[in-house]
Amino acid sequence: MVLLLTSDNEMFSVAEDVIKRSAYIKNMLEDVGESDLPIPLPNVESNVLVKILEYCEHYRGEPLPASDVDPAEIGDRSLDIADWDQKYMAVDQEMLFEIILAANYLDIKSLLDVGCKTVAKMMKGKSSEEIRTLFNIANDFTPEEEAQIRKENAWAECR
Amino acid sequence: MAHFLELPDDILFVILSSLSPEDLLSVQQTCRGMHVLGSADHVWHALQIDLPLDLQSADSGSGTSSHPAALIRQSTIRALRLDQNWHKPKESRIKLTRIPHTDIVDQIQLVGKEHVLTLSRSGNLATFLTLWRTTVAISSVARIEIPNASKFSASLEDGKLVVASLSSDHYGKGSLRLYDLALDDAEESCQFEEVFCQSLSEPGNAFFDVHVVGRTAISGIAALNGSICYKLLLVDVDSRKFDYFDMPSEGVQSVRFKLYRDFIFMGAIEGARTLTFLQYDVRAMGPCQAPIPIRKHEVCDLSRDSPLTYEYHISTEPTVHGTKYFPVAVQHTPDSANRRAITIYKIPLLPKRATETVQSGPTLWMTRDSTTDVFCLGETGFRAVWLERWWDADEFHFAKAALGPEGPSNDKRVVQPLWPAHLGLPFEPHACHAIYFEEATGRICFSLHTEEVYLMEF
Repeated sequence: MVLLLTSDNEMFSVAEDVIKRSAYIKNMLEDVGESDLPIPLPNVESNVLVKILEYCEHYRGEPLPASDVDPAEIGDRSLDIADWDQKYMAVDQEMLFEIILAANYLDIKSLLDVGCKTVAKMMKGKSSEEIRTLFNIANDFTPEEEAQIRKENAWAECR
Repeated sequence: MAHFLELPDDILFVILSSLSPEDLLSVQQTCRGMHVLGSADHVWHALQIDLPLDLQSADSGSGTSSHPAALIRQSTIRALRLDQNWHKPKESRIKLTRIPHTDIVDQIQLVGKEHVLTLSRSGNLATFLTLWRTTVAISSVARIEIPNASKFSASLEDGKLVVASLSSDHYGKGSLRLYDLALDDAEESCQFEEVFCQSLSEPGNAFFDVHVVGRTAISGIAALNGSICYKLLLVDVDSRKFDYFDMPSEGVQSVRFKLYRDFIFMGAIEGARTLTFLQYDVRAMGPCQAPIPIRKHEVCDLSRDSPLTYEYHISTEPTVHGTKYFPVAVQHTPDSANRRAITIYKIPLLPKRATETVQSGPTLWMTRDSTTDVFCLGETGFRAVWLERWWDADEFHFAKAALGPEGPSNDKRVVQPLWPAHLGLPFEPHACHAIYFEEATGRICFSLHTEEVYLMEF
């Protein structure tokens, strides 16, 4: 078992083959060896770690991705997401971004991929105004700048 | 509280690169931060753009990676506009320009943004190559008589135009001639300067295919010596160095060549049943030895077709856009109902793994009792234009097709009349003699039996 300590000081005890999906923890365990001391995760809150562990638990036993593969070579460029992953990612936006940040920090490549694809999919077919509303982005262009960019980028008669 | 814009840049890059070009353009318009991130070169290089872009590239298969993001973005916007216009069934915008030719034009090619090159026959059967400038006032800027010229190919790069032309004299002796022209916008006219000429001295030998890309030219040779032997002439335009190569000739028919910057393809129907393409690396082709193909691509099995019904088409555009696939259109009767169909196959130029083989693309089913007289496949196999003869109605019709990748939410594959019926055009389809189609710019050039030439722009 591996002990993890979250930023809000909650302790989690996790099976090694579950958390090894995180390349960060896997490398740490290999470097440090067995230890009774908890691994501190100052960037991950307990509610996010619960979610991350749910993912790792689900994929327990599946082979880990090879670490030497160039991400650009993997080739799955479509925004297709497996059914279980889609349900798993059906969370509010804040949690979605937290999962992405934690997957990045813990170096869980497949989860980071699914997170990025989910965000990309949310933007699919949306106008710039709809994307602003979706992610609560403030429009900081001057009216002149915005008109200029709109004109340059215009390709459809209505979009 | 996590916010979209607070994601680290490397994650935002991954997200932006996985968008469609349309979505990326929308995201760029949301705020300054996204505009800056979305303008990064590596976002545009990683972006999957399923559109033919009008961008030249120095290497085959290199895609857009040699261009800055701003240029890729501009070309993508133009390509999206064209794609939308191409798909409109009724209200597509078309610009038509008449080129004041006075001979019958047997072959046409668009050259760069501003020129058209024609091969024509005058009343006394003299043959000419003529270069026209199509901007402002259309005029011919260069003209040369080449006796008995039958075919040409041209490629423009950095303002320099190379033209290769095939001709045969009265005794059937074939010649390949190369011309070099500097296209200067300021000049009123320029000259065809002959830089190379090779004639086939042996009787029964004939040139049959010619291609130029950049500063390289090739031509196929069929040598009749009891049986047919195929050869290839490869010329480097700058050094004038040339080599003849013996090509595989046993049990092959319908041989055709295609030149890419780095590769030569030899297409043939093997044993009257399999359409195959041998791929050669141009740089590995040395003098005095039979070239060894680096790959053999089996495109399709034609054994159930009668030899009278199958045929294959390749693009006549010079392949300068760094595309990743070499498209081939095969006309055949693939089902038991003997329906005529045209299937687009894509041969990977640089397969990443051994498992990456020829992809079978969309199939166009011909519903009427018709034949396809002229079929122009675009350089990337994304669009096609052709002339159909409807035997049941005894009519000729132009059609255009969008053959782009199929998606869940798009209707990117459509076949339509080339122009809407209500649009009156100054010529009838049956008068059409030759067509040239440039896919990335959506321009089509027609020559008519009535000695007219028209340029159509979508």
